[in-house]
Amino acid sequence: MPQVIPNQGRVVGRITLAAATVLAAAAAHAGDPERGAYLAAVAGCASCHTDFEHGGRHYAGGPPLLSDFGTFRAPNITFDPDHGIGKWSEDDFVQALKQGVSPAGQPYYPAFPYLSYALMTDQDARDLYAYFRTVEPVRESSPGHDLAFPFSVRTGLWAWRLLYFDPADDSLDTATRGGYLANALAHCGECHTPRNRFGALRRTKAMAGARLGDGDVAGNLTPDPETGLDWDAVDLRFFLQTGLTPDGDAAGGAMALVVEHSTGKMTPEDLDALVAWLQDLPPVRNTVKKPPSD
Amino acid sequence: MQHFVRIALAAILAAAVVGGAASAANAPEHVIKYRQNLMKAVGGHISNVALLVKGQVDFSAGLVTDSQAIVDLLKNAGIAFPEGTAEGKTKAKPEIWQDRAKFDAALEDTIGKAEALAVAAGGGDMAAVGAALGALGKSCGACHKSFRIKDE
Repeated sequence: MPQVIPNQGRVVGRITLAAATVLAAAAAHAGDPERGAYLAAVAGCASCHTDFEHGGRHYAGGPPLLSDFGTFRAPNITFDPDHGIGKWSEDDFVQALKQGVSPAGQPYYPAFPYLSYALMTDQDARDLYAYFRTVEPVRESSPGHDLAFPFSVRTGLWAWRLLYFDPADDSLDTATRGGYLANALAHCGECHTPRNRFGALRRTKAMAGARLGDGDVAGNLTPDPETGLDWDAVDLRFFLQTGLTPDGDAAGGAMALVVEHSTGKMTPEDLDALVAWLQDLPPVRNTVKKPPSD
Repeated sequence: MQHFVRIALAAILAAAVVGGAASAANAPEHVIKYRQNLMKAVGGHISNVALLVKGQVDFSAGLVTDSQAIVDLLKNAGIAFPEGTAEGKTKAKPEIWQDRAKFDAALEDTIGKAEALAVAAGGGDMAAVGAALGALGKSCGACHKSFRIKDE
């Protein structure tokens, strides 16, 4: 991969620059752990970083996340110095969250939704850091990822980033509260926007539904009359609070976790903003296809 | 003596018929149909309570009936998942039978939440009904997450 190596320098340069900007801004405001606790809920950190199904400790590492590339395991993000992120500075944390690069300079897989978190304000990122410092440290490592070659080689991620990660991209709405919630914090598109074969989100079909790595369907959230969501604002709000559909069915799958740990904990104002934003999406016609084995 | 033999034979015959009938009932496809009907019925009653909670209808006279029906139906749900009904047109995950104690506990939790809803419905405070319905929804979702295959 000779073309990857020279490019790597450029990415590192860009990250260093971004990190320096973050550093300069960080001095201004200290993080607020209480605000951070709410942000952690809205961002749904627990759904991936806690193995609720097997009684795992909070934020000590998540259950297997199946994908086309292999199985990801979200790591321990408690502040244990050896097994978690206890040695991270605030800048390390903000860089990991918003740039997808570990303190050791390793790029993360986009299974960690840093492309969404990149849209987060620095203040929110610092509040999250302040909150995670208050979470009880857990002295246990979570199992690592189990990926197929060549995805198991992290170096390839630098090339992926060049193609698909543009920190300056402002095409997604974060100016409205609803857009900020959907695109940055709650990262709805990470499941509800289809991906290309390299796992990058297809922005032209934002929120138009996708098939997940475990075979589940994340529905088309746009108000397309034929393939989209035809619920009214009251139904949608009620669903995000309770997980109950207008038919009286209860969401299972990953959305059950999202409702329990994220949308179900949103303030009434945030819920209203998110619902209004979703209802205002441009309709995109997209039917999520069954896998070929069916 | 002959009389006794005749009675004994009749008894054996009757037992065979009943036994035969018993083995004809509860074919997996019929059990699956039964429990799907049961779950759909639960969903219908939950939907009705939700319509009230959301203020989309104001038929509060039906609230107690719908809430009690959810409790009664869920109490019949356990028998609708016997061994040998994991195969076929069903979204029931094999985990139900691999970890039956966990499934039973999840169902018990949901019944408890339904009973709390019925109590709230009797009290008539719609905020309490809404909260109880939300708790029931989460319990339903938790069980579906562990034990139901998602559609499509």
